[in-house]
Amino acid sequence: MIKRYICILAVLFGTMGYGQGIDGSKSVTVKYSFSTGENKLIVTVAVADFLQTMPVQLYTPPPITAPTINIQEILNNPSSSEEDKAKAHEALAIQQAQEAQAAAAMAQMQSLIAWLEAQSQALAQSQAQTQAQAQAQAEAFLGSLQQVSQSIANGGTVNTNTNTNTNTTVTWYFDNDGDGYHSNTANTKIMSAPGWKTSTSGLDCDDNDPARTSNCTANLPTIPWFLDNDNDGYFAIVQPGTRKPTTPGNWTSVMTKGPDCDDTNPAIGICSAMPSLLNYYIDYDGDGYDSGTITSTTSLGAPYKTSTKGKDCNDNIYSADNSVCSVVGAVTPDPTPKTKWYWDGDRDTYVDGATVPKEAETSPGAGWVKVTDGKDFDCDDTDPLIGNCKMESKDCTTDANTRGADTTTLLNSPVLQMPLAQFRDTANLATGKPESGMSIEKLPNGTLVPYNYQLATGTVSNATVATQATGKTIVAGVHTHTGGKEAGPSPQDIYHLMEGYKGNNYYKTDFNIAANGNEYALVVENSANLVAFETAYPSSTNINPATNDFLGVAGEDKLPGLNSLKEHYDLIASTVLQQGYNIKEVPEITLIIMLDHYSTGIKLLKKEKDTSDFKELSFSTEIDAQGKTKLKIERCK
Amino acid sequence: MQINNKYTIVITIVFISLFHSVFAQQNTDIINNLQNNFINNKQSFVNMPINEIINNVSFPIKGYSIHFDSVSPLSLENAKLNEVTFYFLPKKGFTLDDLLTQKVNTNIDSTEKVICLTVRIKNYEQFPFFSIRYYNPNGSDNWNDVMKSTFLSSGMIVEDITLYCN
Repeated sequence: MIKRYICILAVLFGTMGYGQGIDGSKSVTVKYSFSTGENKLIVTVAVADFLQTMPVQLYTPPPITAPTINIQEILNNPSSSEEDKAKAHEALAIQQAQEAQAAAAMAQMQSLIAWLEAQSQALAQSQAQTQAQAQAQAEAFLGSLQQVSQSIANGGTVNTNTNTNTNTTVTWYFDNDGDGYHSNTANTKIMSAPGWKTSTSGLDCDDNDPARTSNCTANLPTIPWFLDNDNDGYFAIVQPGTRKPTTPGNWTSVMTKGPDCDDTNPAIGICSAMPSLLNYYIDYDGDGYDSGTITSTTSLGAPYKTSTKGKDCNDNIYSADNSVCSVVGAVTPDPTPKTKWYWDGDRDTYVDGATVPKEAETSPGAGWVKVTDGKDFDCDDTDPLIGNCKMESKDCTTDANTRGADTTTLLNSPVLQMPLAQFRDTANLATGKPESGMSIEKLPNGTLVPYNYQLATGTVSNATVATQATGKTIVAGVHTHTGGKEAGPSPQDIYHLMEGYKGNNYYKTDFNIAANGNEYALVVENSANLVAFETAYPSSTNINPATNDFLGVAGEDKLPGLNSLKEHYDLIASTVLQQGYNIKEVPEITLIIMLDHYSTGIKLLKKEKDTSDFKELSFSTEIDAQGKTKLKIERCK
Repeated sequence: MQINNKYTIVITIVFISLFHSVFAQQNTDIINNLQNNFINNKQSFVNMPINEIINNVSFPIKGYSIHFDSVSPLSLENAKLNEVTFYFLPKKGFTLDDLLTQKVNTNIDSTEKVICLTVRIKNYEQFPFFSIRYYNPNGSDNWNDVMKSTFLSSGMIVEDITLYCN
């Protein structure tokens, strides 16, 4: 099919050419013809006695092979087995890839011929006065053609944005990595090779790395680098870093389609069953301490290891005890961290929040225990039958259950699992670590992929999660709350979602991964209420960006009434605490009440540590035996 | 009947005026007393236990509230109690029902008077947030012997004192 189309083009354009000017001035003649057998375009340039021929090797796509199975019959047959369907999908993907390559080759051919035609016309009309001038024009054109030829042979595209005015010299800038900054310049009339542009943002300090532009010493964000040796868009290894990894291979920062079953075969991408992602530690100096982690679909050798003794203070210097961090002098390692021990008066493993904990390497004595996740502060530390006040389960509405299921499905999307695994890594959630974050983009085919991925290695404490991007459908955001602030969404997070939704109606969910293993989602439930609340209580007057908290009014606690959302929030928080709820749950419970009380149109969902589903949270009240109002915090079953 | 009504109105007005002036005078006395004893004499209380203040007030404390160094709700566990405010007029408090029905700026009572002394705690690091027996940001009528003994035995050291009244 493709060859037949090229033959037709050759017949149409192969004899086109231009001659000498009528007034005796010299002009350049260009002729080209197509060699079917070799898939070449033969270009001849002539001006009087100057004659030169240059072959341009065209890109030859692989032949479209007929599938050995009837794809449509298998896919349309409800009784087809899952294995057959997987094979059919794989065969379909191969067929579509081959067709796409053939179409790309055709497009390349068409743009090349269009470019040749434009160049020919420009040269013919240039009307050079002398043989030498015309010959210089012809040579300049051949120089450009040579660069085009090399690009095409490498499977590149034809830059049709060329200057056809052969009488004007233009400054061209070479931008190899496509970041808008250049590494080289040339003053010529025509420059049509890939990478050459007529504008620039400035000199590039590294023209092989699009992440580095004018300043190579600036702190760069950590991004995932994907190793895709067979260049099929599926990765074998993922390694976060600020620079392209130095280990050999085809590393790219462009987000891939998923893990590769076989990174040596471009015809094989993702498998019907997701390959296992193996975690490795990078240990360049071989001392057992690592300088980072990577994820791979295949087992790896040095410098990657499956275990580590901890973070390396310098992975270029071997130090058996990690005490040598520089060649100048040794660094004393941190002292052994002490454990916090809490008082458990009734010995029910729930501890007394009112007793100041003790810090020691070993237990200070009977009754002093460590707090384990899920078993911490006691509602009544004199009664072993009463533990901490847990949320109650309830039957929810269909809408609430659907929100939970949809939210779970969204975050379980396969391509998101690699960056989420990085976010959930305890090392990246440790106390003092900056937040990680990314947006979630929905591709036209429905696939959810990360966008603007940032892993916690920068210097900024808050992650920046984009809620919209030109040409992209951003539907959600994810960020972490590292140690010390693992309490779930902050008031600032509510406003991030509200403002994100107002700017982009596809943006409806903000996820928050907490250091204690719980995960939260703020989900838009009622857009009209959301807009009304955000209008009545805008972030500019209600949020303190320095603390991510609500913004208070000076001296408001001494003034009558409720003077700000912060005062209201703090008073509810104190009431929740006084009603015996766990201090770690106070922020999220307070948030549930605030979201509902102010009709924000937003719901809070939670996925408890070691569970698989997001469940919507809500509250109600009941009158206790003393006639007092008591809160009931509830979670969908 | 008409004459009786007039007398009733006059007596009522006189009584109300008297009532207001007595209370206004008492409020002024409280403010003057706090100003003279604590603010003008601040240096004799700084670096002393909080007991010195509690034991030397001339008018009864009606309520208290506490404040924390951290204002972020995401780090409650790490927050430390760094201020105690003593109210000499009982501040109108909020019940849970109030909090679940009222909204911001909907229940401002412009006639409510406040007189309070705020004590900044020097050794605040010793008083973590989860000492819930202290926790009450309300400032309502919550002072009693239990709270008095709790503060007297707390070991809190005074760093600064400020007076607020409206």
